[in-house]
Amino acid sequence: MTDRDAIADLVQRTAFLLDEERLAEWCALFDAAGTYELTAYSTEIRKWMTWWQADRETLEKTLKEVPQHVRDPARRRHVVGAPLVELSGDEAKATAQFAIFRTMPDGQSSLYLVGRYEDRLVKRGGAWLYAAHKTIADTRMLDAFTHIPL
Amino acid sequence: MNGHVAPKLPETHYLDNRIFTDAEIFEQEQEHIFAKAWQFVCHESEVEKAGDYRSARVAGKPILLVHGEDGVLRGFYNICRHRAAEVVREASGNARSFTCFYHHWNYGLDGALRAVAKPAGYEAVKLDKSELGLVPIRVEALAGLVFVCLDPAAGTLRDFLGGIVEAIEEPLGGKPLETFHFHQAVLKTNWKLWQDNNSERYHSMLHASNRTMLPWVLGQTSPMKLRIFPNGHSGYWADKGEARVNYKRGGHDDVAQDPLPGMAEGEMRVVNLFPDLMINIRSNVVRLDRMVPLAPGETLVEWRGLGVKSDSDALRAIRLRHHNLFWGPAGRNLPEDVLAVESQFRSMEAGQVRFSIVAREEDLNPTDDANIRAYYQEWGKRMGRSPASVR
Repeated sequence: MTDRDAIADLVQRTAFLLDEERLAEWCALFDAAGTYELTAYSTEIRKWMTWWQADRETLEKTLKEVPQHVRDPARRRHVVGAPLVELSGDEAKATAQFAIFRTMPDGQSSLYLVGRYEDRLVKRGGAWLYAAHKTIADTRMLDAFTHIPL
Repeated sequence: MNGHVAPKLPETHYLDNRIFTDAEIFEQEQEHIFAKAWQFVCHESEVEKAGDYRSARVAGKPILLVHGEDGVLRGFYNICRHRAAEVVREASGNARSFTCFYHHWNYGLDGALRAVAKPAGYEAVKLDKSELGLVPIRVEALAGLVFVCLDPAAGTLRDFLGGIVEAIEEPLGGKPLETFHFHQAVLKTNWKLWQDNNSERYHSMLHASNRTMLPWVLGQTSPMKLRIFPNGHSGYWADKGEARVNYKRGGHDDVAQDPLPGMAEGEMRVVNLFPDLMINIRSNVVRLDRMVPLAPGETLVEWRGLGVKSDSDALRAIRLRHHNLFWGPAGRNLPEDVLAVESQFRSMEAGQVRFSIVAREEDLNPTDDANIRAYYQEWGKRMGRSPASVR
């Protein structure tokens, strides 16, 4: 597998693991010093905002607590485009557009959130991992809030 | 067992659930409450410089706040005097003047009509521009919070808020703050249920994080006390700041640093202003909830996060983490509250259980319902009807 293919695979796997709520495996896609960030731009206050920012250790702790919460009963499904990849040795940047759909228990589906991922990656022991996985949300009016990353 | 039989309680201690679902009552609320009471619109940091503006809807009406070149913050109906198009269509921005997009009538930051397109066409009727400025509304600010009032006959903001301002003036007004967070959502619930959610502490055990970090949620008596003020305002806090969150127990012992003026580290304070502003302070960060009721079962809620304007990057990161931990769209608590109030509305609309019980009496501990009862007493006074019975 080429580096480009491996990164494209990582981007798809990231979304798949979130949708399946295999959250410990999702955290394992991050480098030890890797970070996750969820951001959006507010036209109301004319500022970029950070809605979630955490390192891998904090993510692991927070996501372990997810089963304790009362949660949105809907299932989420990411549809992620092929990433644009810029390689630089054992480091890379990747950008991918995505949409997340939300399906209620009664089977009703709706568009939940659109945006793009802007990622920095590092190659460790032959595997590509996130140094920084950033979700930039276009959608700011959410039908339900979230206890898990997007 | 019949869910339509009123509980055997004093009439002050229960609510008719139809006050949350009835379309006629919703319309009356717009007229009797939202068009009469002082309404929070934004934080002053959002309209800080000359030319900064913010548009919003109050009581279903489009309004505009503008920071004038003279430093005065003014409010207007955001409606062109020509053919009633909205003069400003963006949520916020900075402008030297406002030109209506439809026929290009131009207004100054002070609301005065400065120019009309093709003025020769009005010469025959001697159009008087001085009579056709944007229609003003009242604006007052307190502790950085900007309010408007559509009722020219209402008293001042400070009169309306009364003694409860003492709980917010120091933490919100002691240092310049700024809005660093804004998100909004249309909740499928009635607006009063969102206000109730923030007013009653009986539901604290809903939140996994509260069960861990608020020592008084399970078992102990809270050091907070309910504070009830005239005009439907209330809050809960402890006099000496001893209502402190046990962040260490939740593994977040570094989030509450640099408390706001008048707040102890880790202290929690909650203020609910009638009819729809919620102010939550967690030692070093503030959350503001503002509502725009759209229909009996649809409420636009705006959430703001405030931090200290002069923050270093490191301090802002701490405040941001603290805010997002509980209150952001990916916070631990906020999603749970929304699920609860949407569930309530679905059931109330179905109609099988007609009454809600607000009967807890606990010497003004936060799980006492006395503040909810006071809120609905004010609601009833303004609406001219009992909240316990819809006929």
